[in-house]
Amino acid sequence: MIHLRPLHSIRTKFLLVGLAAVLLSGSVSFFLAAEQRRQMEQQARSSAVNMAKQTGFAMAPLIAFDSRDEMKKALELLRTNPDFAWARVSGETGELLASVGDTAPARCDGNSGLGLVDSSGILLVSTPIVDGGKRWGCLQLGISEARGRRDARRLWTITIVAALVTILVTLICGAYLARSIAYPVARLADAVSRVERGEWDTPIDVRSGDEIGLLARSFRSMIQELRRSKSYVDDILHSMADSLIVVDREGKIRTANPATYSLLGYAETDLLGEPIERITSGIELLDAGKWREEESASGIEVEYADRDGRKIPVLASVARMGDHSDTVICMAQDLRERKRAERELLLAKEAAESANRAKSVFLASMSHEIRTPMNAILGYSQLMLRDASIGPDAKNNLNIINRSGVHLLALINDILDMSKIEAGQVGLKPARFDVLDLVKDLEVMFRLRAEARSVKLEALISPDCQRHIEADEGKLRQVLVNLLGNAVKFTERGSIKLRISTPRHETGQLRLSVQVDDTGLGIAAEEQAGLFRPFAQSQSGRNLQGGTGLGLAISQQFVRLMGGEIKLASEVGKGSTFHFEVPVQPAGEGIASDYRETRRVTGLQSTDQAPRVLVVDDEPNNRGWLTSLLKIIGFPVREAEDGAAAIRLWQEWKPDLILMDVRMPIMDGIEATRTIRQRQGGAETVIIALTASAMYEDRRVVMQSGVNDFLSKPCQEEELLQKMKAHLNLSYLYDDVDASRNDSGAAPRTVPKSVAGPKSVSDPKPMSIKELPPELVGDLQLAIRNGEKDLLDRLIERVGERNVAVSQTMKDLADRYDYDALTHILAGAAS
Amino acid sequence: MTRRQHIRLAAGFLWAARQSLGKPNEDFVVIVHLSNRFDALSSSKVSYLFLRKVSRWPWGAEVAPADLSGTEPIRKRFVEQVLRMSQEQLAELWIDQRATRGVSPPVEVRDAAAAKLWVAKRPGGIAYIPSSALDSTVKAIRVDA
Repeated sequence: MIHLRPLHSIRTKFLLVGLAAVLLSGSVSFFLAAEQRRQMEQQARSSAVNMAKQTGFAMAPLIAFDSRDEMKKALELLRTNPDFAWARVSGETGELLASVGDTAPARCDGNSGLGLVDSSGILLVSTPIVDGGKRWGCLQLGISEARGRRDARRLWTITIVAALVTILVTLICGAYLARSIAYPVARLADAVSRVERGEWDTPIDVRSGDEIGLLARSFRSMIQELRRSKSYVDDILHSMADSLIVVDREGKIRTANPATYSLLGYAETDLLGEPIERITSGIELLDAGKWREEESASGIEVEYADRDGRKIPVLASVARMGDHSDTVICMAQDLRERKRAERELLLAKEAAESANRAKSVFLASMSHEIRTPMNAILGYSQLMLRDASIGPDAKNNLNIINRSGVHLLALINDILDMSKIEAGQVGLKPARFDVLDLVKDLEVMFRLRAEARSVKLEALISPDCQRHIEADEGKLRQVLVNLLGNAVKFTERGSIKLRISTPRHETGQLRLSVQVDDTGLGIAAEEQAGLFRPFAQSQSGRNLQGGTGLGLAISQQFVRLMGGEIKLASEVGKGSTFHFEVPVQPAGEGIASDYRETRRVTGLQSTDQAPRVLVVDDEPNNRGWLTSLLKIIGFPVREAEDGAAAIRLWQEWKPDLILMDVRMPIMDGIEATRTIRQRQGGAETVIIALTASAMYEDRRVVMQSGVNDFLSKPCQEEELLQKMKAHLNLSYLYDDVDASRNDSGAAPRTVPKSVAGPKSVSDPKPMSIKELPPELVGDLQLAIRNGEKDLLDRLIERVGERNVAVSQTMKDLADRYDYDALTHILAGAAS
Repeated sequence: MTRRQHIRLAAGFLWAARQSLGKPNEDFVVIVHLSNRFDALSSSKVSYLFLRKVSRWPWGAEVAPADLSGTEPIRKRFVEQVLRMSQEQLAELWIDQRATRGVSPPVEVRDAAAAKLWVAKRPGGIAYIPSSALDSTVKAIRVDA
């Protein structure tokens, strides 16, 4: 930075102005003095001429009478003039008449005029004396100019002294002005230029009461303000976590904040003046050639290179700086952490997706693998129940096997339902059905169980209830079984009421309204909200064990699918009310008055030729069961173990109906069906597919192959016979009602304690209790009898080493001092 | 005496000279003391004496002019022919002279007898009287043009 020394300093200017003033005033004085002198001289001369003339006039009569004394006297009078030197009067012929003074110069020639001054400084004035037309003589006067010259000298002296004084005063004033204005201004300029160079702490010690002092004060406060605003901007730059770079028109870095240096690993100020390409080349706006095209850009993902050349991904925003449009400001956020998180997220997502795929594969194979053996269990137990040779005890055991199988199947179905719902694969299958039948079934199913616990079960059907409606009976049944099952499970005394009605909605839409009331434990308000979530069970539900926790969730999903919503009203200790309403279609007239008995098919009513049935299955057990069942009823039956064998038998034996398994080795059921349908007479044969796959997608493929109907494995006897009846137009013979009743009524009596415990709601599974060693049980009983809580707690902890669920239940009871319940449980263990 | 007065005086002389050439001085005569050395005087010299521009005769006697009073008819003729100005101009002249030089006009005498007496008594005396009144107590001088 140059130290500014002004070319034309104020001091010089003052000097010039002063000199000009001095010169001007000097020359004016000189001129005035000269003029004055000239006037004085003129005045002196004209007064001399006047004096000569007047004297000359007076001289004429004196010359006329030749009065020389008079003349001398008259001339003597002239001495009163201080400048008078001498005078003389000459006659007509030039002779001297009278003279005064010491000099006698040249004779008068008679001409008037001013003579020149002689060496002694005397002015000679001569004038002719004329009067009355006659020339009398000549008058000569000598006037001293000494006085005038003295006056002139004095005038000059005064003028010169005045000029000198003026110069002196001017110089003094100039010096003072220079000192009081030029010097402070120079110091101020010096200080300001030092501040400009960045020396912010330069003091401005110009103290003055005038405008310059004011200027200095203004500068001081201005610099203070500048310093404040600079430190404000610096603070912003320093506290920024993101990188900020300012790039000039040439693409050089002009500013970079500390975050930039720490991000890129440079030392402070290393980057200043460096080309931006050293850091990044990915931002178009920063390229020198692109200045005018874009105003700003944000969210650009680019890479910065650090000092060692490593790439750092950043999210950059670029904008032109307001007033400095050739300057670009670039902010960048370090993306390394985010990129890492994104990678991890992607990995986690892939892992989750593959886990989900694994789950689906697992569920699909499980459903098949579990259902296939279940088919044999259920089938054979039902078959054996028909065997008259089997005694009542064995029949009872078979019933237990059958019921357990049914329960297990239900459980599997629940899980499958849930996964299907989650996969969005559930659709409605509306069909015409009898509401009364459904209610009767449910009543039969739950009455005995309820009555075993002294709970009254009532089914209240409104008198105007539509008997035949079209809806998805299967799902309705599942929902009602679940709701009633829960009610029975959680009600110890009082009653359970099932209310059914078919009100019409205000739009005319027929609706099925279902309400289940119980006087059971009730559900705490804070638990009600989560009750319909999968695997959510109420505290009492958890205490009771049993159940998958899926029941209510599935029910709610089904009801929603049907267009309703299960609502819950409950109060702890008083009971619960579940209610829902779904739209249905009316299907025929009539309201309920009688109900159909569930009867067992014993044979074919027709005496004609019984239809021939071909059973195709690769599993011998399944084939065996179906063959046995159908033979008992009276159908001629033959078996095939795969699709190819089935086609051969179809051709030679011409069966009326084929029960076709879908999955088989060599040739599967779908291909076999297609082949048969393509052959002559193939369309006449009724084909019912049997499939263990519960997935809706699979069923569609099966139906498209040309089967008439299909059955899910494991097949229920009744369902199978009903389908056969529908497709072959058959009539069956039934056994008596009691047998059917006995069959369904047997279930509650033989249901294991785990399903409907006889006494306590919080009974853990007796089997678990029985696992405990007898000594431990004895110690527990003793501790209870003696009321030793601490000992009891320690013993329960030991129970936890073997069975956490049991110990948790026992701990809950112990904490509530419910020693009666504990004693009861332990009694079960000891028995 | 100012330049203007001189001019007027000069003009008066010229005029009077012309007048005198046309008319002889019959009516008045200039008288002086018997001892006076002059026998004749130019009219300009007479006017110097009357206008008191010369205070002494060349032999030292003090000039003592006497003027007839304004009522005398002869005064007009004297003023016009010798002094060569009008009576009004003369009056003005005297006012001027008194103011600038402190010179008073000549003494005024009532008639010729008084004028003769004034001149007879003073050696430097000078006056004018009608020709008819001239006697031996005074000396008459000729006035040349």
